[in-house]
Amino acid sequence: MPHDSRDDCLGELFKRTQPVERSVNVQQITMHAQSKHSSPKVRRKPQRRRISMTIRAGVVAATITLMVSFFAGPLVSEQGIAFADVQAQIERVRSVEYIETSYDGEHPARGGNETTMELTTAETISLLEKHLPDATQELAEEIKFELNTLKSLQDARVLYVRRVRIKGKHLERTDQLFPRATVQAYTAPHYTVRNARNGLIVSFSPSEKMRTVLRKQVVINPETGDQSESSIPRIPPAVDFFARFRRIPTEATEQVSERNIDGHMVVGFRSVESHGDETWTRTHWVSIDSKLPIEVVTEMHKGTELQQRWVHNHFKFDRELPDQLFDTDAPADYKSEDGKIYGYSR
Amino acid sequence: MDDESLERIRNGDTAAFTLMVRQHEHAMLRTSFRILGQQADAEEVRQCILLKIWQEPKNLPPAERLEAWLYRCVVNESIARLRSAKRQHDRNSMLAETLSDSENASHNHEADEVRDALEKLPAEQRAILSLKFDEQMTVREIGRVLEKPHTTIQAKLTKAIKELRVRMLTPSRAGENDAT
Repeated sequence: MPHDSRDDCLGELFKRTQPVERSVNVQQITMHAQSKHSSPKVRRKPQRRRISMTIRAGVVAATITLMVSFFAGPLVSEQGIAFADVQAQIERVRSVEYIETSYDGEHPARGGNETTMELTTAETISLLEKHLPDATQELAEEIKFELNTLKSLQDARVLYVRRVRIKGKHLERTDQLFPRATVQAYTAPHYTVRNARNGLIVSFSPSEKMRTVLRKQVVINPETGDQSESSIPRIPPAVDFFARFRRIPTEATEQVSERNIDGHMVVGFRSVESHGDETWTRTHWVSIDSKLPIEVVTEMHKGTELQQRWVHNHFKFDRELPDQLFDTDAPADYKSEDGKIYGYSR
Repeated sequence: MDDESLERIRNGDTAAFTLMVRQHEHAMLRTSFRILGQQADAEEVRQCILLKIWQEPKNLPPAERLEAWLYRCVVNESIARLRSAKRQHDRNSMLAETLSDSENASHNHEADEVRDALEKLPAEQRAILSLKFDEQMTVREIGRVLEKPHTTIQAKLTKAIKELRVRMLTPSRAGENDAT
């Protein structure tokens, strides 16, 4: 067939409109279905219909749970929670809020030591406390929330603290709580909205009344200082929070003993991935009651050295989040411009 | 995936089965999605096929034919499901179901356009287009999947592309382009 350049356009269009890549829950198939290996008398058709309905409704039947706890061994907690249950529970979530804190692994804490452009956590807390008495009620709630978060981290070697809010599977807003610029007055923190449905990534700075549409990325080589600029690849059609849970093969999780976090009994599921000389270890601490995460800890090691550590906690699921939190349009008095994301290559 | 791994699957080895799933799961989903137009249905088709494989592993072909065989299973199962759905539901109820699912309704405007255009084509044409543009197959490879001569596939592909372009170039869209 002769090549038509318009075929390339169609190919590109197909590429851009592919479905969300969700990994198959193999455990659900192998555990929930009786294979011919173990039971030659299996009645295929009713079984298939039952499994299909189970998946569609997102409900794990009691009989299946029993089978899982019998067969699954280390993948299922003593309380009968399998990581597959957690993934299924996450899929039902309509909104989520959490705090993401990044800790430096081996290097001195940022905040005052490396650059004078950023406030330390103590300075940020002091600034917030100074402006709390004059704040409106709505603003005061925000400031109190930030104060509580930062006070709990005051002595830690923190790189950054972000508050992440997700609505549906395609709207995400990230507010940078720390570090802040050296501002004299309290302003709402810098924040970024990602709309996976229309592919927009927009950053807002309320103090400067600036809206920046992020279209390019600049990757800096830390060794040579060379920079390479490219368009930001089209963002996936669902926010990463859900994809992260889906991506983890259930059979790759190892169960960690239960413990108590802030009054919640939790059980841990740990997975390890290697990329070159980097090892990524993720531990999902999951509430035994709700089967939803209470804390997720990710550690990145190079060799034996811990390079960076991320903690996601203060989870709040299915709260009402107003649409205006995720608005990507510029308010009337804002300036708007195109911008770039800067990052270091590894 | 080699014959030894397939033999392990036939003997109930979950690790080998998982490896096969990870290698083919996204391609299976993409192909089914193009035929059915809905992510949830495509995921169900994929799940059903994998479940069937796990239950009846003796049906697995030799390694060199595995990929084409899996695609064929997906195409056949998706078309069968489509026919079954058409018998059971009228078109309006299906659309209503689609639109009620916020994520599946559309990733974006482009996805809507492609889906709408594909929806008007016969299921076999959708399968051929998906194998060509999603999976980057040659007409010979598509022929192996659908068990048809490559000359037939070539003719069908040409027709499918032509019809897809006609569907996507609606009068209103053409007017918008002219205006800009």
